[in-house]
Amino acid sequence: MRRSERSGEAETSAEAASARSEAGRDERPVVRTGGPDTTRPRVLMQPRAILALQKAVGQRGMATLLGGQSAGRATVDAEPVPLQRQDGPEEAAPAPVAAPPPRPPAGGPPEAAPAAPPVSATPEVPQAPPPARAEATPSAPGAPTAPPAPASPAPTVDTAPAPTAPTTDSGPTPTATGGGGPAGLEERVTARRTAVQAAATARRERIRASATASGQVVSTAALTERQALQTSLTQSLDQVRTAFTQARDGINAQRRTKLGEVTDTARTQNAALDTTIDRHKTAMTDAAAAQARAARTAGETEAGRAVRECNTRAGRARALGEQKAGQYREVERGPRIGAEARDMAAEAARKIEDAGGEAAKAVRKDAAELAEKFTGEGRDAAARFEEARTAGHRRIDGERGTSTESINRSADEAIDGLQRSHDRLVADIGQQRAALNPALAQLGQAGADGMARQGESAVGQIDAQTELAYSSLDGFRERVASTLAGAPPQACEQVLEEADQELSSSLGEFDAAQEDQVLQVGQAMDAGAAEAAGRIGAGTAQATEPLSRAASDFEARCADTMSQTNGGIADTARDAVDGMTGAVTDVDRESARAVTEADASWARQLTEAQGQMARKVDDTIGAQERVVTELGGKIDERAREIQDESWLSRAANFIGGILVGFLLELWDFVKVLLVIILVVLAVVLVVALIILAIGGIGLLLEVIAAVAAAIAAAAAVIKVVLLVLAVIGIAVLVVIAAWRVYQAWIRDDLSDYERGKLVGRSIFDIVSIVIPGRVLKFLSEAKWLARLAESLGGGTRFVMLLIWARGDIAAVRVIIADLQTIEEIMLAVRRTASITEFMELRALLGGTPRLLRLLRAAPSAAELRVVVTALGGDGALLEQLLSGSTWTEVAQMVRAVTAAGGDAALIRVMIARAGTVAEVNRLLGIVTASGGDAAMLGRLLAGTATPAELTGLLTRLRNNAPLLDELITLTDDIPQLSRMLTALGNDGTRLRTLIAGAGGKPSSALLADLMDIAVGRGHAGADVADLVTLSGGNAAEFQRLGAMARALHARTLPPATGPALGPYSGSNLAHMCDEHTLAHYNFATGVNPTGQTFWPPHFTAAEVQAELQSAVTLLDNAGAMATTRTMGATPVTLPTPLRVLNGGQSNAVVTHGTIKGPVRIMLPSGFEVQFGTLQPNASPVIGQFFPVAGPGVQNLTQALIDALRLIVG
Amino acid sequence: MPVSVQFAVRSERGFDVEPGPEVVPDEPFHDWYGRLLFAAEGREVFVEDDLTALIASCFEAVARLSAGEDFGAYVTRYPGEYGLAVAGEDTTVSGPSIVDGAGVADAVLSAPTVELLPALYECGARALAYARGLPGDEPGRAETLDGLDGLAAEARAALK
Repeated sequence: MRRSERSGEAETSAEAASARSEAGRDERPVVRTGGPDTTRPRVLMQPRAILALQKAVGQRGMATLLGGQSAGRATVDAEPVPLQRQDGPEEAAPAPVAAPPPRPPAGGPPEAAPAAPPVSATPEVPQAPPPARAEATPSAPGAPTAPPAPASPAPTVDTAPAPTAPTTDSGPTPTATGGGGPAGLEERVTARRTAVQAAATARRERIRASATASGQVVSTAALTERQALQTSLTQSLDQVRTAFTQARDGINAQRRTKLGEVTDTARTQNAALDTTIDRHKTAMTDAAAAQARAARTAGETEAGRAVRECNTRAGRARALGEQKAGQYREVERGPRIGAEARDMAAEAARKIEDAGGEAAKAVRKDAAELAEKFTGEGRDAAARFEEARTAGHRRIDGERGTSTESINRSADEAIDGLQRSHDRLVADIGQQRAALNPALAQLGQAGADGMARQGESAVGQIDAQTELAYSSLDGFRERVASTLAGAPPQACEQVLEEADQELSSSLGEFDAAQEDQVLQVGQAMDAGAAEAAGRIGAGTAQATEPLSRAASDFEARCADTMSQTNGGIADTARDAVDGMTGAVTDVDRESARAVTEADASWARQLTEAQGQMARKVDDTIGAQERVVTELGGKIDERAREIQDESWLSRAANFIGGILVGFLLELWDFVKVLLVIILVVLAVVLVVALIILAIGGIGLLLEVIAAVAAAIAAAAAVIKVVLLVLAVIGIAVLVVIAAWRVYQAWIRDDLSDYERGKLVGRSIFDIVSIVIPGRVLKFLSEAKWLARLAESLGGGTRFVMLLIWARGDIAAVRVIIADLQTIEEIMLAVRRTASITEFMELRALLGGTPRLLRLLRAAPSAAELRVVVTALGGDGALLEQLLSGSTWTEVAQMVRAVTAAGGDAALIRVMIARAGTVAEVNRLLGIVTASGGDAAMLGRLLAGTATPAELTGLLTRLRNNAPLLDELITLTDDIPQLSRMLTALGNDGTRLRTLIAGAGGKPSSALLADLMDIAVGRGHAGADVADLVTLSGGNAAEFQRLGAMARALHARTLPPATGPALGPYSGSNLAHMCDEHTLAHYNFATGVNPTGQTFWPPHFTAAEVQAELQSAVTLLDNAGAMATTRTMGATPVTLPTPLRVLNGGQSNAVVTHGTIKGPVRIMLPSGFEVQFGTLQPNASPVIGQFFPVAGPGVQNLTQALIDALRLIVG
Repeated sequence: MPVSVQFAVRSERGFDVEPGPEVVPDEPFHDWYGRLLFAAEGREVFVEDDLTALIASCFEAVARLSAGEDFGAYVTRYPGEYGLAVAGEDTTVSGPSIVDGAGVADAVLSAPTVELLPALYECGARALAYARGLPGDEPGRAETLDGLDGLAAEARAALK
């Protein structure tokens, strides 16, 4: 019967299975009880069949089957059960976590956390009722769909079946005493229930452990990926920064090196150019001087030859005269012929000597002119070398300026381009870091939560199954008890035993199925965790790979850009050096050629001139030779003339002699008379002056009065004396006249003409006695002559006027009409060479009055003409200049200005600025002495407030006017220039070098300020030199460095310590500020060999404290990463929250949530900082906190800090 | 030239190499500043940092290199880093903060590992003894020196 029932149950079970397979069709299963005895308790059904039926028809239908309820009650929908199935059409799809997440955007973080563990992959629990829906899939709202990617294998959770309470045979078999009736039934059911409960409890714990382990796998995968991501991004960041820093430093190093080469070459080539020019100038002037000496020597040689040869011939002429005198001594009129021969010979000899002298003078003059010409040309040629000097310097400076600008531009453009790319890449990496970190953190947490939910869901299913088993056991107990009510004990015991055996079998199958289900749940969780970890890793790799590639590309680009830029800079510098060297070489070659050509030209001219001088002397000697040669014939001819002279001719000669003698005597008389008058006047004047000096005008008047009285008193005596003297005079004159007549009569050597002259003189002597001076008075009474002479105050002036006018009486009348006074007439006559010159000057100056005024001032008309011409004919300007200065001063200034290239306009400017002509002359002398010119003085006067200021500056620069001119151009104003000169001890050359090195005029104001700062801090003004050198001639760079110096100059002491922050008891804020901020920097802290980083220039202790607070907040909260190098062979990156420990201790002190410092972290403000602490660990103090990189962070080299120290230290 | 590692301490006179107790730094204990000077094959390089950090590096480097690992450290006083790495029979000292005698950064120096590690440990020990020998009781000083003692013990064990 049991077999039949079991068979029937088997059939029922098969049908139930069939019904399970058709669960979706809402059909009522056919249940067979297997026998006619429909009253047999249905408790005999196996538990496994019960469970199968439960799956097929649900709890209510099963109760109907077992309890005999109406079939209509049993026809119900399957109740929802906790456990899920995968074989159902709705559960076939894997959980979302298994679905491949969408590809994250390039460079972006995963958009969501990984999906929950594969709850949907929970293994099918055999025997379990079909699920109503697969709603248990724990897909959290907004669950991440991005791919998680842990690479590590998921740890295997021990899902092996744990020892559980037996569900089939662990309980005591009810005895007949107690188990054959309801009491035995209760014991058996209770035992089975206890076993089921124990097994379910153990499996719940296992599922929860499995879920926890899988969640840990996902969390660990996400954490590992965060660390890997942090490491990867940090490496990319380091790669980008290192590449940029190396490229920038490399380019700047090349820039400094090449700019130094260019500057050095410019300096050396400028010096070489000066040396070359000076050498060629000296060579040119030396060559000219040598040629001039040769010319003068040649002139002296020829002059000596001319004198010597002519003197020789003069001697021969005199000897010839003596010879001829002797020859004619005995002939008729021999004495006369002899005298004539001597006279002719003497005259010829004199003329020959004069000719020799003239020839000598001429050749000396020619030689002197030639020598002067050589000297002048040499001087001019040497002066022209200054043009070559200026052009050479300009070319060298131009090469230097052009190459400097080009090098700076190339370097700046390359660095700027790399800087932009660097900033962009750093920002991208920072954004990637900021986005991925929280995403990965969320991803790990979401995965862990999902696994936990899935585990709880599986536990719920276990609970539901257990409750269902309880329910089945309760139903079994009630129905068996109801069925056995009233049955005999033996029958009850047998039925009960069989039913218990069947129940044990069914529960055993249930237990095995549940155990298998738990195993599958664990395996599914392991697989899901592993897959999620794999996807997390793959997603992170996809996100970071483009940035790694971009960093590598940037590194390559940096290297390439640095190489190309440095190559270009080297080419530019080389071209500049070649150009500057070529400038000197070209000048040297051209100058040498000029010297050679000039010397050769002078040599040719000298040779030619020597020939000309020799020919001139030869001609002279030849001519005098002919004179000597012809002299004998001429004497002979003259002798014949004398011998053959007619009486008429001799009479005419005699008469002519009388006239000439008369006039000569008259002239002698006048001269004697004038001498007497002058002597008398002189004596009177001297006496008068002596009296005046002794007794003054009073005594003089008294003496005059006394003399007059004496004369009046002695008039008679004087008259007698005069009469006596007149008689004596007449007697003397008579004697003289008689003597002359006697000589004329007796001397045979005299010519008739000479005899007549003696007679004529005697006649005048007699006439002067006989005829008073009325004749002259009569002549002076001529009307016109008298008026003119009267108007001029005397005949002499009139004669001078006539000579001046070259006899042009009409012109004289015109001039006299234009002139107002005699003084003016005589002024014109005396100061101008002729009336023609007077008229020209009058036209040039615009009128007679101005001409007369200027003639009074000028020493001569010629000089007046020169000066006025130099002034462009501006007579008004000349008068203006003379209003406060002497002619000498004005002429000197005009000549100097015009010689120095100036004109009337420039003179006006100079006078306006300098005030006086003398001042202009003085300043111009200084300027030209130092190589400047008039235009330069004009600029200097215009650039300074007063001549005194200009003089002061020139004095300070040792009168180097060109240097001052250049410095004024390079500076903003004189006070600024003066300040810098003072700071540099008036070393203007040094100042020029510094300004040029700082980038020129745009930097002068800052340079002056820095010198003031340096001096104010007890340093030398020249101590700015190192900072200038570091700027490399780049004005923008100098401004940047100067701004640092100014900021350092304004620095203050920082607060000593900072307040407690988070777990840290305080901070060494003073140290953080006095080494890393310009606002509080302390040079005494020393400079590190590789330089020092500084917060942005505007940072003070407050900003540093704020960033420190930010860092502590970051470290104290989740979501950030910190990297240390003191905990392993490679950098270790850990997620926050972390407490940073001092690095000088063993790793053993590091516990969860702590890290050995110093650490590097990225702050929200974009600064990457280093953060370190000091012992003790119990209350650490923040000891180090400084920027590594970030916006505005600067790394100052040791050289730069040293240069700044020299100024503001 | 044998391999040597020496420490130096900055005072008002500059850097004193292997100073005695008469040389007292001007700064507080935690700011003592010094150098590690590595010499081998006629060349010398050095790194500057806080003295305690340099002492810790001596010991940690010995421990890591003895275990076949590389050693690296951030400079605590300024942005920089350096490291020691085994390459065959030699150990290379390198990094952006390693400076040669000419003041050029990023220098590299190699020395036989068997000579360098003992020298490095001994240098750290001398520096630690020097630090202990100076007077003072600043907060954290004792703990810092104790921490360095722990690192020294690890290094000593690794050398054995």
